[in-house]
Amino acid sequence: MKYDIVLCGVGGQGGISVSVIIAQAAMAEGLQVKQSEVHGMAQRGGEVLAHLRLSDGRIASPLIPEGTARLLLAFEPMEALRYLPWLAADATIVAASEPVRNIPNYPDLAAVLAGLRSLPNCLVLDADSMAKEAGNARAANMVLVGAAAKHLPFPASRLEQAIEASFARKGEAVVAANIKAFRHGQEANR
Amino acid sequence: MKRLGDMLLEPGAFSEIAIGNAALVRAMVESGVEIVTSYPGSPTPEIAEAIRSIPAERRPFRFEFSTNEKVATEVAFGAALDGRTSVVFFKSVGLNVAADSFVQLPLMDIAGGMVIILGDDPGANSSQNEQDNRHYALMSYMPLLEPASAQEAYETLKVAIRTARAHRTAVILRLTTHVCHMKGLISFAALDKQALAGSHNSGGGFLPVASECIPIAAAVFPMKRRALERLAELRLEADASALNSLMPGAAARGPGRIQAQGGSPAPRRGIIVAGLPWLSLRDAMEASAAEGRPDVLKLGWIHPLPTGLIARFLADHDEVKILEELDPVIETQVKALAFDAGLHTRILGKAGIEEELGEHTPTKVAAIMSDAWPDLFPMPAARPALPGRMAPSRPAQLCPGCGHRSAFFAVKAALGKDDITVADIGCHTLGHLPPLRMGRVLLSMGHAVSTASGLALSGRDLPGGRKRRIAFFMGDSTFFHAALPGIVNAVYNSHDVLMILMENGTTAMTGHQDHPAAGRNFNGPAAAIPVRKALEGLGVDNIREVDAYKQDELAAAVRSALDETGFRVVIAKHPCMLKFTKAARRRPGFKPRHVTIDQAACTKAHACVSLFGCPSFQVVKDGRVSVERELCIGDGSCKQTCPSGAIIDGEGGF
Repeated sequence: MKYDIVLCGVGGQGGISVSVIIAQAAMAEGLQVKQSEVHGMAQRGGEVLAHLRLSDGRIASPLIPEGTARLLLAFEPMEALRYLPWLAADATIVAASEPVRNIPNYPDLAAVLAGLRSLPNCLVLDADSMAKEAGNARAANMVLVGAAAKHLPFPASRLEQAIEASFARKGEAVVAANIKAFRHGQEANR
Repeated sequence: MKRLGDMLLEPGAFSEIAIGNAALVRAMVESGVEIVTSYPGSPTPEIAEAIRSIPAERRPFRFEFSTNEKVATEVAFGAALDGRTSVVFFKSVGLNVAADSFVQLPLMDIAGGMVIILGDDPGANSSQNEQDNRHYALMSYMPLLEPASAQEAYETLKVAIRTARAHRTAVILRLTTHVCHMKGLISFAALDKQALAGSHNSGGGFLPVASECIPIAAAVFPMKRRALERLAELRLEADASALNSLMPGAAARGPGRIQAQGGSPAPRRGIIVAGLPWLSLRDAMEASAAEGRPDVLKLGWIHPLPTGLIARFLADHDEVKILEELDPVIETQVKALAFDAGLHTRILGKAGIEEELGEHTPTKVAAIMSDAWPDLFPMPAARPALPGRMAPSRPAQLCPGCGHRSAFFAVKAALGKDDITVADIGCHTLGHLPPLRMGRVLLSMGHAVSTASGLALSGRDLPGGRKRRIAFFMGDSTFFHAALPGIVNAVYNSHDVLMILMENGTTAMTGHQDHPAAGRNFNGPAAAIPVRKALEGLGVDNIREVDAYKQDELAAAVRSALDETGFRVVIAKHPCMLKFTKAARRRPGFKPRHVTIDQAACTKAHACVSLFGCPSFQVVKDGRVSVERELCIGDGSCKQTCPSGAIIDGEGGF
């Protein structure tokens, strides 16, 4: 079993911490993981990309070959379009609908969302609003993980445990808000 | 999950998820390294972050950020000369800065041994080029080892340290971006306290008379001879090293080799590969639908190459593909080796310029191998077109509230259309992007002073008897790194240039490391060397200092300075707002602030977007300007740029 995930967004959206949570959950399930992060200029409003590869056997490259990823988790809708070439034909896309417009030539949002929705197996969510409903505006990334949970090759409980472990240091309220955001995401993709 | 600092000091053996850069620190701890130095540069700063995760009082070695890569190399050398094993790490182009001292290291008798960790950057992910530093190993007779993964990086550093100690020399550990940043489960060995105790100072200290190392004139030759002899010894070690591995492939259809249609046996094929391309190749082999699989010789010793091993591999194959990222460094040596050995193996090197450009990702390697041997690596079918074309690139940019943007806006207003601005390296390099377009040429760190000097010497006349005026930008960290000799030169030789010093108090681009003006070093409070005082000490007497947010004042200062002669300085000062805002967000009771647009006052001139270029402003469909609240930090440096005063403080404004 191999399961490759492309995570993308814009600097500061918490894409890297989501990658760590999925990796921890996968490891708890006994899977091997390999992840690549591109650091450097990401904090300055640039595109952010992480590749996360899960497998029950050994994993070679930390980078995913084009045309093979099973899941695209996009924290920003236009960024989702950028990485479509990495996806396998039957891949799932879970994307946030809220744009980060920090370039003057950001395309028409309606066209971006229509482009995404024209793809098979694509779920576009207003993760920001859902996170606010859950009581933590910064937990939009957890909404997306929740929405993707049923596609991942391990039970959702593993993810909840990883979320708890990851936020434990920040106190119970933060853990609870992130778990709630995660479950909102799950609800949206029943 | 363990805290990183505890993990790095864990006494027993364990496995934990870590990035390559952090794993290197465990190798330093296990090997009893005593002195570590660096200058920050991607892809290596996370090595320092991992070091920082070990509380200072428990850190088993001393670490410092030196002022540049040459200084860092010399500090590490001095310590190793006296028997302390040292490590220095920096990015690819940092080696150019260090090179003057670096190339001498193999001539020296380095009792403690030292390792230079190079973070090369194929793909130029965060560098001004993608130079292949393996060339430096060849020209300086220095051994070079290269791992392909984070696990190998950890293990290979230990081998590099052992080799450096045993041969009393310097050894290069060459990493590339994705090896540094690759994260996965790594198996770590136990700390061997006894071995550690024995390793310390094992090489003996520097003796003022007997240890003399002065390569001058004829004295160079015995030292160079020793360096070459050492390489010959190391070539034998390389031949036997476990860092190289031979992996047999699989023949197609049963035990015998496939019979080609004409009845002649199919060629025996092999691949020589090193570094990250090996992992990409493994993916390509696993994805291939072909039955046969070539043999692979994966190298970890890159200089000197294990020539015995390679000669045998060549002799055993009819065709060998050399798969390497960037330049044909292994290829040219293997071809020479085959010629000398009279081997008739068909050697497939780089097929064209494309194979010398960019990273050898799994996708690229699959294509390269398919070009070489389409029967073994059939290309997957082309896929239908996707709607991805509508995603324009999203380059790194100056942050909302950045003092550099405010400074560039003011400087631009002061400049005439014929004046030239020279860029330097740092966040302020991003000022070259539209709409600011400040800084029109870039070579390297600190170059701007002297490139500007040359432009000023050229001194083109403009209509009306005026001379073209030259200004250049310089960051405060780069000021100390490489600008000082250029500044002294400009003062000494009376060059008519204007330095605009973009002082933000930190080394922002690489993650906010302190620099000599900060009043702190890596280990705690330190004497601050203010840039203004340093300039005054160098004999610069024409200095103006303005808060970068005060655009009228700054523009006036630049206007005046432009019309003066000699070496002039305008310090455009404002703290890094990314650092400032991050710290503010962590404080309890933090309330986000934004500016907002007074839509009644807005004349839709769009200066905030088309001239100032803060990403927080977006023109929406009907020509109105919106403020992206997630981006805006409410600093208000934009308010001065609106001709109709329509940018106002939003709720909670500054």
